[in-house]
Amino acid sequence: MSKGIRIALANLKGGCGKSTLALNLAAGLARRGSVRLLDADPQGALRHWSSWADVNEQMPVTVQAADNPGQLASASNECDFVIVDCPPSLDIDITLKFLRNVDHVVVPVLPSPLDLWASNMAAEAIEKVRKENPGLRPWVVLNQLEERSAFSRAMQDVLGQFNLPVLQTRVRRRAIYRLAMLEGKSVYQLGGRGLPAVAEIEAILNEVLQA
Amino acid sequence: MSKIKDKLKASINPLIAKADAPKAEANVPGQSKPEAQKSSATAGNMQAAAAKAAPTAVEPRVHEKKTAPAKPAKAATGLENKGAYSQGCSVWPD
Repeated sequence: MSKGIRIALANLKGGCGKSTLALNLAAGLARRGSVRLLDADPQGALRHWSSWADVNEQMPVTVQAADNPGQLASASNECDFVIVDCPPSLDIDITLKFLRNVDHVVVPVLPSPLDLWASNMAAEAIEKVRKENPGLRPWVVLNQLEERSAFSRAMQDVLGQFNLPVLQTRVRRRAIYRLAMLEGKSVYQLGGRGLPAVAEIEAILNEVLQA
Repeated sequence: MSKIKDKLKASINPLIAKADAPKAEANVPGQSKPEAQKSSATAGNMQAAAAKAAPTAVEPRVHEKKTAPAKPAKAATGLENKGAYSQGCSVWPD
């Protein structure tokens, strides 16, 4: 019997910020309970980040390589929250297996036409998965938003055309996310410098968990 | 901004239509085509038939294709494949 809330980060495209969001969401969830971060992406970016992290830092998130949903089941038995960083594809077997077994899927989308067009396929793939996992709650989050760009603002409205709910919270393009990654930390561990980013991550978690 | 938004919306319309098409077919079992497609196809056929039946009142214009004057053939120099330009040489043999 699984107890923990399971959240997957998935998209058709690579480079949309899945891993960055996954680790920061995991760090945010660590303030609410125990967290396991499953790295199902063959690139293993989060495992590298975890090994790169300062050993003196108290990083309250355990990163584990994952390639089957059995690991997800055991993690959700042991932890309050499980985050799965999926491979950059929605139509491969491993991603679909994870999506059939999670409660939420967060789809980061960059403000670009390519990402917008790919979102349509993401919506289709998620709709198919929901036939087997009707409890799955999908969420699109606009990532790396440039606040002054008309393009970014337009994306928020147009994304609503697809059958996927779009989070009100938008993640701005901030160097602090990359800096935290480089330092082997999350934005929560960067003090005042990380506060605007922390506010964004907290807002995403509040939206998703209160839904 | 509205121009960008309109363009973005226009760019996804074919994707949404493409995604909706199989659903529409699936929703009408035993029917060869969805009603909307059928009616548009019928309208298309009617237009084509009308075009065939209608007498041609005006002769269609014939655009004469202008042919560019033939370029004089280049003389073979023997250096065409040797990257003469990149070597800072003239293509003309000494």
